[in-house]
Amino acid sequence: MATAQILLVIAVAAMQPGPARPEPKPRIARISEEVALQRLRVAGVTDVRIVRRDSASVVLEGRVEGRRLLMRMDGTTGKVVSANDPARVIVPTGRPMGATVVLPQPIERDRIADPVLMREATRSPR
Amino acid sequence: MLLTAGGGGLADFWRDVSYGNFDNRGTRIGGWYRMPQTTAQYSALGRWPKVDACLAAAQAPGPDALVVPSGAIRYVVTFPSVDMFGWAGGAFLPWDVDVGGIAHEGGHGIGLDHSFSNDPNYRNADWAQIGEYDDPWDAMSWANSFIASTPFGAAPSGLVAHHLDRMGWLPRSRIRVHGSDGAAETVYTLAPINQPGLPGALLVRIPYDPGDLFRYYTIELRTRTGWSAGIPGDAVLIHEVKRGMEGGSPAGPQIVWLQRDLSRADKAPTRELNANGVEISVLSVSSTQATVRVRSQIAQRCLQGFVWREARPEDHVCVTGAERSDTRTENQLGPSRRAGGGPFGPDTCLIGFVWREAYPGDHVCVPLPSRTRAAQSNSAAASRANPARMVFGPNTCRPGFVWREADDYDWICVPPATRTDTSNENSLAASRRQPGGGAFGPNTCRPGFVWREAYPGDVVCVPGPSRTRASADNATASSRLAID
Repeated sequence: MATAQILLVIAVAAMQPGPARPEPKPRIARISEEVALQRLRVAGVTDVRIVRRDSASVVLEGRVEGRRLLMRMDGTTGKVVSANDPARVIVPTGRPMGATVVLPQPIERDRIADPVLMREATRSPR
Repeated sequence: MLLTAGGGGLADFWRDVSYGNFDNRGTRIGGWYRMPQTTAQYSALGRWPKVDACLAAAQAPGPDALVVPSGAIRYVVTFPSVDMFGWAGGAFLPWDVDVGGIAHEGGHGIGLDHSFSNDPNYRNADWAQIGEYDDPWDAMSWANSFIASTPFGAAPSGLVAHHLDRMGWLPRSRIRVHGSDGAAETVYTLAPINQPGLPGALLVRIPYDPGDLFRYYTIELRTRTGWSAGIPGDAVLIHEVKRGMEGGSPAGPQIVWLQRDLSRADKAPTRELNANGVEISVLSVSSTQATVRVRSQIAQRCLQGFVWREARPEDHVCVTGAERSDTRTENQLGPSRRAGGGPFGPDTCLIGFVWREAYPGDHVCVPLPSRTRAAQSNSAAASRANPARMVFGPNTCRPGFVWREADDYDWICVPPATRTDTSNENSLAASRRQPGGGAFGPNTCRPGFVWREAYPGDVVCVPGPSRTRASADNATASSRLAID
């Protein structure tokens, strides 16, 4: 019989205290067709189209490693498997999807607040 | 994934989207802790009992007991996966959550709400309200958000500008409020919200409702780079920001609504808006800037409680409702109060009446107190007009408080005297540093002074009580805001 295990993370980042017992937010959203297409493109799948969707998943067709493939995307986790071979994971969760993001260089917060950046920000018609 | 900056995970996401204002350093991790319940038993618990059971297990006496500091944000992570939700102060997550999931629930943890769109036909799920989760440019619509790929799975493309504004992460100098300078029409140059080092405004608030200064449109630019590299294209996003209604009055926190073009098949973000007396037109968009023309008459409107006097049609001096009513009556009675000629010409008044002089050439005959009142209203006109001057956004202070402004990001509300002190401390900063530096580097303070630490990285040297006061002001910040 499995028992649950938990990990507790205490983040000390500044926050605004809320009510003593705020209501939990419901849950995360379902992935729309618009976002499903974008997710697959980021994962390197090309020529993607929506075939159909139901409440729990989106069925898509696209080109993976040069071959057309019918895929099923989990509607909330975004995990993508082959529709005909669910054991074949096309896009995993919790791991890189295609090319890893190029991280932006952090910018000094004082630099962002430089008033010089606002010199040309507004123009009123004469 | 959670704590280590530079690895492409959550710490980097928050650092970048917050412009360095959200810092995960100092986070503590406890566990794993074995729960006394079976997975089935634990899964059957309600959401708060799940959280409470976790905290009880973590805090149970023993070598791994974890002390949870008051006010800390708590992330509870379970193995196996049980549930996923957030609240103002924490989040409950599965062990295999990706960056997007923890950013979204962690967003709730720091007080953010879901984002919406204006599409009346969009319902994401049976647990969602109309329009809810329909802003793919925002982490608070996750999992319906455009993604970036990270070593730890999918991450959101960012946060919309209103959410940055709500968190106080936008520098004050990079925000504009349309109409606050009195102009009806302005062309704004926007910098990408995700490339804040480029010139331009990061956020423009466009108010339109004198009766609700927390209701306005916003404009921002998002470009295809960094965390947003995967979005469909560079885009100006127009949102409406407004509160919910309770008993006929606005109440609660501001919620952000993406304005889509509902006439398009793809319902892309609109580039033209004409509603509520506001016209917004996107003129140009590039990978480095956008220009947007905004027109509205908000600068001509009166503050709540005042109306245009309309002594003549173009008289827009703001007065009380009673004064406008009296003015209309005076206009009607004016001809009957004329003497039919006299030393001041054909408009000479009967004895006991004088010209009102609400505007140059106003020869309506009124009792003397009415002329006096008109003159007083003219003198007070500027203070009663243009509600845009009073639009300060989500971090507006309650009456009696003002922003501390220790730096351009400091939105903490304090008594006015504290702001004055803070400004003086900034002016004196150089004189209170140890010449040549010291044990704490170039910002080492002279004896008798300490770093103020009003915000992360605040090394202005102040007397000890000033640091204590700054810490106390930070702790009471949310209670001094005008809205939730």
